[in-house]
Amino acid sequence: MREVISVNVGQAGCQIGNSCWELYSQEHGIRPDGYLQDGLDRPKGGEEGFSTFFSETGSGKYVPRALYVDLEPNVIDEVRTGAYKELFHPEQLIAGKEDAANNYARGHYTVGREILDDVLDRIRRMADQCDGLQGFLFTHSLGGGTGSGLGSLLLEQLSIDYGKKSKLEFAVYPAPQLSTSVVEPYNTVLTTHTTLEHADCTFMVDNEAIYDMCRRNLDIGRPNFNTLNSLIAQVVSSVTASLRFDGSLNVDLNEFQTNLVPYPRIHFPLVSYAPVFSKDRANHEANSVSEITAACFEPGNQMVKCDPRVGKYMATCLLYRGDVVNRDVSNAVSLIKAKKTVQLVDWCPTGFKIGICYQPPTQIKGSELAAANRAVCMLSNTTAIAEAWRRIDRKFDLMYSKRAFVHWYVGEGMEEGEFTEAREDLAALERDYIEVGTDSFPEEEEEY
Amino acid sequence: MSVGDRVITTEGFFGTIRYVGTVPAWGQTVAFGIEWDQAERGKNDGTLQGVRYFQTKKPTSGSFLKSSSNKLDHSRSTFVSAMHYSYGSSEIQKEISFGTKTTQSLGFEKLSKMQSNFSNLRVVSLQRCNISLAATTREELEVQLAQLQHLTTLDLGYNLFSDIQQVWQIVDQLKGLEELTLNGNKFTGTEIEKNEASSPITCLNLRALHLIDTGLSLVQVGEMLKKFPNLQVLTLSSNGYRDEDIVLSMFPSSLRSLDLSFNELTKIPDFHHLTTVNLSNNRIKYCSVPHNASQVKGLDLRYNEIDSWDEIDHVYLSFTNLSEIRINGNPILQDLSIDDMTINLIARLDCTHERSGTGIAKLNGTYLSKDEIANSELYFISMVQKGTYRYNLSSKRWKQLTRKHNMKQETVVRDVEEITKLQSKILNLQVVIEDKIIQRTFLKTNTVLKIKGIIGRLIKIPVINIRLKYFITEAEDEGQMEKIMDDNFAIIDTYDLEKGQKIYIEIV
Repeated sequence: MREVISVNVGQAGCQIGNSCWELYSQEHGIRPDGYLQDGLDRPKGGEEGFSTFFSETGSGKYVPRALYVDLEPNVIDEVRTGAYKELFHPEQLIAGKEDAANNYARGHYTVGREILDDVLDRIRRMADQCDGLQGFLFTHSLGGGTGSGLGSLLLEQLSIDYGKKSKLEFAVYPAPQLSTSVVEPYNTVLTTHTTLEHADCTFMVDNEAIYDMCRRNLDIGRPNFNTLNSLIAQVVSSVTASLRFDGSLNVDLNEFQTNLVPYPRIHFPLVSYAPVFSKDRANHEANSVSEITAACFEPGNQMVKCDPRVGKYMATCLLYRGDVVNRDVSNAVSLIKAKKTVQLVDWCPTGFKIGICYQPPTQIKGSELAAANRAVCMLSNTTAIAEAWRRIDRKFDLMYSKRAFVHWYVGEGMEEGEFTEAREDLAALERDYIEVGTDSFPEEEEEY
Repeated sequence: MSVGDRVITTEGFFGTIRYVGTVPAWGQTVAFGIEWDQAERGKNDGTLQGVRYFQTKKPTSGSFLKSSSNKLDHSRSTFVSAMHYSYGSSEIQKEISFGTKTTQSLGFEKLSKMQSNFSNLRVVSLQRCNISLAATTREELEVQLAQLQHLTTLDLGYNLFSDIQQVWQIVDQLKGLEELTLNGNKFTGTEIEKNEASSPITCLNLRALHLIDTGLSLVQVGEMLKKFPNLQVLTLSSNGYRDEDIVLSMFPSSLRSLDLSFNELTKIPDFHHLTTVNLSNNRIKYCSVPHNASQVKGLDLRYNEIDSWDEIDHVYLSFTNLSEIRINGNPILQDLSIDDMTINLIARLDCTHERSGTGIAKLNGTYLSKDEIANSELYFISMVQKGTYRYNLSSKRWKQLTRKHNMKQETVVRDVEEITKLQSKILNLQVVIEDKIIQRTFLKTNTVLKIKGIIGRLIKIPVINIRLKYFITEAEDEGQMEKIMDDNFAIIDTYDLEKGQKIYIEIV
């Protein structure tokens, strides 16, 4: 009844989408061809939650409520020929012919516009099949041309067409190790500016953080996109588990916002996930509830590189999965409380929510990440995440002070003013974060 | 408390009681002589003021504590009481507040309700619950176990069991159990052997058994395994095994995956029917195996003492059907960058792309792509030819590589000395790319690959996508005979090229 439509845009978006849908279908007991696994008479984890992400056809086949959009055919062709090709309806896969060449302007203005109507039309058709659409889940990168340009264009359009529906984003933040182009800072700043007022909640995934996690926790010296994506999928699955399975905290997309977003612009919660262990280490680690909870507050388990110890928490959600017991959770949270590093802002009345979902996490085939009986995903709105914006803004300034590469954007019909405007908006965002972090009661003036 | 019992300190250190009695320093107070699992916690080897009370395995892993010492955690529970304490409590957790804010919990009531009906439970973890016994009475245990009939996974790790029979009392009744974890419990050896023969009860469903850091000898493990005829996965990490301990014939024939990491092996044991073997963090130096190891698909040799490339070549020769290997962290690879290490490993081991049949598809945790493999192999070959890397040119793998990359043996040996004068060293050629013609001077000693590289950089196309050809007879009529320069390592001088001749580029 409470359907969610997933929209995967661009190479990163589509590849992460692949990993996610592979994991979702395993978690719900769906085979790669869309039918139930042998021995099941209904999908795992309760009909109600299941139908938010999958629709059922007359023949008993289950189809993801998902759309893949890319401006070039390569990645979509992989979906069309891959192991999960039968899961999707051909209508759900939209590929253009000409790529965005890592250029926001091409994705947003020239090339992207050409397929916009087609995409909106398919979204409309998908939305028509829903009884009570609750919102959209976007997956895209901030650094690429299609993900940033077309992604923001779609978000803009959707907020015109479906004003009240929630729009959540999983956005891949660019990392130098896996960079494909030098203009990633431009694309990131431009797309953030455009989507800032259209997205309701944006979960950022920093490739660098995931990369480090693979190296440190999984002992993978040279992670590739596959490795990163399977880890990202596990995290996305934990966030959406509460929507897909019964008996947990955020049964509704709106609740994410009300829990986590005190101001519309401050909508970038930090995501942490534990346990991240390789198979051979998993047996040596105790992985008790208190250990995984404590791990969530370690910078090494965060999806974005920043130091929450220097920031303040506005809101925190802990989403547990699998075999946990009440008492352990209480103890774990008490231990966290004892740590003085967790500081909450004083003006926000809500603060700390805990949710539980009895479904344990599932292991993706071929993934190095060990199967665990329990996992926890923490969503916290912390002022520390402003560090990520500061970092990208610096890189932007470095290039823009010399107007480097700007001609590629102007050549596609963009005005230079948009760069300045976007940069100013991001500067304002940085200031917003400083402001919400300061206490509402000013310290007593000592003397006049 | 008696000798053989397990203790835990309030700080979480585990130990085994080795002596109960008095020591002169404390008069009539009963003292425990304890051998600690972590040797650093101890002070001596069981000797106090020149008197030996017990003997520890490691020289500093023993110490004495008063039996009433508040350093020891004196609470003990049984399996049944721990179950009730953890899963059975229906009380709602008390509120925790951060300053003025209280935490809100959702889903807990439902969870408590569901869990307190034990027949709903599939997974039970009772780690670190100070459990030493199954139950206080037999009836109590039977009632408890009857409720747990749907249980598939049980974790009793890091408890205070010392008698394996207490565990069997629990496990024997759980017919559906598939995975059992007993890590960190130290069982006293004699009782296992004595009682095992008279225990015919087997667990047919058990697939995975984890016995990390249990101090069980392999003979004892072998006895235990008679209970589990369908076991597939066995973890025996951190048990201090040496080469001579390993007798793999004692493992059930159903066993597929064995984890022997963190032991003290120096060579690779005979695997028989195993397909996945983890030997990381041992002291393995030699990788040659005298027996057939072609059934092994996954091998983990990380953090061993492999210090020669020959041993890595032995891996290639011995394990003919590998599809996954992890080998980083060995001394031979230590000084290489990650990229160099990967290039060498790809070239020396037989790697293939995931979907294309046999060969190693996953190296050190990452699936390899076709381009990566081709690039690494070509680079490796060129480095061997230059003499930077040393490699046995009569080996099986080298032949495989030369065949794969279309390289003819004779071209490897270059006769460079003959060409002395500068003039005779260069060759002018016309490179024809579609309808463009580019004049270019090459060295006669350039290899075909080098030329492809130069051209590739000009037209921005990867080397592997370029094909070179020329016509033996240049006449424009139909009698043209084309020759494809497909041997990447041939020197262009070995082809019959004339000054100013046209060579043609085809993009594949």
